[in-house]
Amino acid sequence: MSVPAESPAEGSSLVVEDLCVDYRIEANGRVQYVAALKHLSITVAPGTALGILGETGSGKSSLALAAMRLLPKTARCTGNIQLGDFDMLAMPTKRLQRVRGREIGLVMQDPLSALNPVRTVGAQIAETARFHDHSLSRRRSHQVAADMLESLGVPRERARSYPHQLSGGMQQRALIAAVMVAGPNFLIADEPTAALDKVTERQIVLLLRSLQRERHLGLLVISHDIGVVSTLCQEVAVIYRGELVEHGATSKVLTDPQHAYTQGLISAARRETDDRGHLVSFVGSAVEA
Amino acid sequence: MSTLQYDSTFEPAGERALTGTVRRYLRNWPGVVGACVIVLIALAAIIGPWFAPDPNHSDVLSRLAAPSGQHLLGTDDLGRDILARVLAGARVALVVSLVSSAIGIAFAMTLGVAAGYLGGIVDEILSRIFDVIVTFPMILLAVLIVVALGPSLTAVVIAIGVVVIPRYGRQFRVLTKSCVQREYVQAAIAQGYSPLRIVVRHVLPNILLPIAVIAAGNMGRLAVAEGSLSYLGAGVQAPNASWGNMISEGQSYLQQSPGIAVYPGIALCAIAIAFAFIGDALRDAFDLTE
Repeated sequence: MSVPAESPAEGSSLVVEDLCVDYRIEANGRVQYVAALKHLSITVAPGTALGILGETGSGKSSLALAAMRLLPKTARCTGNIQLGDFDMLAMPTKRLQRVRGREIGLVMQDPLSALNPVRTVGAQIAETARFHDHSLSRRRSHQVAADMLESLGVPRERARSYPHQLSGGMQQRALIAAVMVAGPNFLIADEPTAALDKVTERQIVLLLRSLQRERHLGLLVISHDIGVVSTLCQEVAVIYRGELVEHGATSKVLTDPQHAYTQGLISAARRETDDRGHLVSFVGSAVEA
Repeated sequence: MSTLQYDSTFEPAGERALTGTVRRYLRNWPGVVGACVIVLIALAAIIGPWFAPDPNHSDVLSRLAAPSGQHLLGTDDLGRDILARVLAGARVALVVSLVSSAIGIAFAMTLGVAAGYLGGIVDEILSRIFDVIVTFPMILLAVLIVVALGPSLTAVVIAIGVVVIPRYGRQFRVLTKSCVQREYVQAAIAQGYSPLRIVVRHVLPNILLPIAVIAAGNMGRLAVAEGSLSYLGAGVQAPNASWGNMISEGQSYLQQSPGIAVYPGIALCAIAIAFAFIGDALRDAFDLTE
């Protein structure tokens, strides 16, 4: 079976409605639920990029996991996540396996741990290619893998390398290649540059931007980095303590933030200090919740 | 070695990693000694019987003979050649340790990986079964199984194989559990792969090495277990030779002719220590400390 013909060239939309995610924790024999996301609703139109900004613990990664239905068993998830025509939360597992990878791809934050250490990157990309297009021969799938790497700026020969032999930037490119070779219409990038230095970060961000524009991908970028989000995304949503506090066009939100938390994030990114010489921070950290 | 190389990392990684492992192994002298001992025993067991006399042929005129040109290690109480019987016993010991390991690991892999990957009720049930079997003394359980099946070499292989299933099964379960939490397994799930593909292509390749190392170290114990069963009479049956039943037959002649029991005893010790050395050396060579 090849890629379904009806898949729109425009990319898919992602509609999240009233999403709540709670994690069950057992402390001192008592069962507690900790809310990671509270009644979150966002929409990513086909072919557009939305950035999710927030600090560590704000619940932004839970959104990525919920959208892929990868939340651990201790998580409770309610609401609605619609990817194009697919109801991601209600769909049976068998169909979900056909949607994952083929319709929606996930780029994880640490490429070294997201790639299988005992197999060459070429073999891993080739496996994905062949998995999603059974007509590919083994030999052909390895060519496809090398082509994919080359198109993302990794020399073809590196397909024979193991993940630990590549630089951080190349690892991230290889990981993106492994996700993109399945031909998804929608991509979730969870802190795609967190493990990279500033120069490499810039290259990866530009690579993601060109991929998104060329292929009209829907893109959900999860990051704490305002620079990454402002380069990649037309729209931005700010999450604080699991709640959406601000949402709008990137240029507007970043130049004229309405919510105090967004203002704090922006000034922290600019390393602005208050009159006592301290970094401006928002009162009350997300971790307390 | 090569004169002009743009980038040494273009070498295939597998080979380079492997030569490093081999070098580390060779630096470990007990490991080298152990490997030599096992190779010698294996060679002797494979080609020895072509040169040695029939291990079951009894020469009544030369009972309890001292070592001589005709019988290198002497003869036992029925006038059978001790060397030939030790070699025949080596075949039994090696076959039992290899085949029962293979049986045990095959079943343990299926059950342990299922428990570790699926979790939940499957894990609970399988883990409790493993726990119950492990609390049972190994030899006692093996004897029960042999008795139920009727004593024979096949029964011994099956019994020891079954006894080791929960021991390896627990290892597989733990390793699978820790592997499944790794991001590359999560990434594989996110690619839409089926659980079977994830287990075969992404989990097993990452956990087989530690299991293989543990198995190599354990093979000596399995040979000892075979010896114990045969010693107790619940193993290879007379007149066929096994180190265990040679020791049990020879113990009544320890005063006159200690060789009957001592030589198979030495062989059993040698194989047990050699496999233990190999296991330790492999563990260090692959740097599996975590």
